[in-house]
Amino acid sequence: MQLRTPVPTSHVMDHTSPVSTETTPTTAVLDRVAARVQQRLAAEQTAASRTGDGSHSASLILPWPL
Amino acid sequence: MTRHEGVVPFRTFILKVANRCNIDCDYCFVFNSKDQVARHLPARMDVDVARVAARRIGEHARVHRLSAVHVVLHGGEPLLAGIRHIADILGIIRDGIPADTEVRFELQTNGTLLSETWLDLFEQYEVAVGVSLDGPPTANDRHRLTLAGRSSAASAVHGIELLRTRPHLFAGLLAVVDLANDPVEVHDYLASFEPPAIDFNLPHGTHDDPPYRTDPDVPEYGLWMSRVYDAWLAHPEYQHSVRMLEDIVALSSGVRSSVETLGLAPPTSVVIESDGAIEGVDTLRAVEEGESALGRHLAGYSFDQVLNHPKLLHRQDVVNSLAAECQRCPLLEVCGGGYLPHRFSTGRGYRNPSVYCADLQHLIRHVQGSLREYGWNLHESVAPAP
Repeated sequence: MQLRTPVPTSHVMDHTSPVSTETTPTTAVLDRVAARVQQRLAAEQTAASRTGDGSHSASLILPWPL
Repeated sequence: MTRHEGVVPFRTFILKVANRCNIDCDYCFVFNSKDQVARHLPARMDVDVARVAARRIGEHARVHRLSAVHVVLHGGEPLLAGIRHIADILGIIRDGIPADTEVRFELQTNGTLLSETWLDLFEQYEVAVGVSLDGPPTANDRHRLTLAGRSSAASAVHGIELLRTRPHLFAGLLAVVDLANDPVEVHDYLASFEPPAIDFNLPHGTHDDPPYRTDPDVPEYGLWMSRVYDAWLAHPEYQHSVRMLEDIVALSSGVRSSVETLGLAPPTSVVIESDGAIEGVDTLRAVEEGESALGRHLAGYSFDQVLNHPKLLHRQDVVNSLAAECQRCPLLEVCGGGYLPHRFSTGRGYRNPSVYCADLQHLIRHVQGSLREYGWNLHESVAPAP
């Protein structure tokens, strides 16, 4: 079955400014999450595997280097 | 042995170094589920089994040119194997894998037996330690009592406080969701230990034996985790990730890899039992007896040979192994059909949506709605808001 979206060869997540320019607790946390997600996207761009890894549910450390 | 294009290799090797436990969690898939095989397995993994495991991991790493592998010491309670024995196993594994393959060690423990001496050993091999804790003592005591029926919370917290003195060894905290616990209270309590990561596992359940609910028409687990999400975002003073939630964010942003309970990335872990038997998804013991067994042993099979086992074919074709309704779901690429054991029914096998389908839908939409509200550009595969 063809996936709805092909595996992206490149994807830059554009985390635009929030509706409010004021930093709120929520945006502070999401800013940190955004940075980590960007790292993961960058790591996947260079990875040999194009399918990604499903890490074990009882393992807390990420299987890819950051 | 040749490398096969398109085959997804194993990258995480779960070693059951101990098959006994010093506490008696009533939801434990190893000791309190439909499959009781663990009670008949060796109490701890022999060093000879560890040597064969190292050889097999090494050959798998060479064939697939793996730059790194992840070795997780598990149980039961792995610390029951004894410090000298674990030291021997760590050394055997490290020495048995090619030098150009990085070995990342992790250990998942109930925390009750942690000591400075253990942490010294973990320093030597850079073992990241995750601790299981369901929340404050009243929450933790619902399910995680000692064999004598007493609270294990104080000794677990003592272990966590020791780990906090060596934050580079602290992998995080793992909790099982119980609807009777307040999600904000649980999250905030776990966050107070300043772990790098917290994760929440949904209780094991199948369509034949569904998880507890007070109202089957309400996505109670989705609502519970949504409140965890909101609590997480409300505390920027903490630096932790909540893995399940962050993976929903990441998958919604185009990331492919995630925890195996979400997304479409094939599971890349394999389990080695204390006697050297190989299993794919050990939590299938909660499904029915024998369901996790592959009938393969380290002595006679390489991991490449195990890759093609009929019970593991879902790894090579994740989407087509799902129920039809999952394949056409707009949330497919984030949900991934949910965790494999949660899809099981006697009538249809694993071709069902998850027993947590409605919960996952609610949670994913809650997270994505939050991201949209804060101007996050979601991946093109994400359906527009309803």
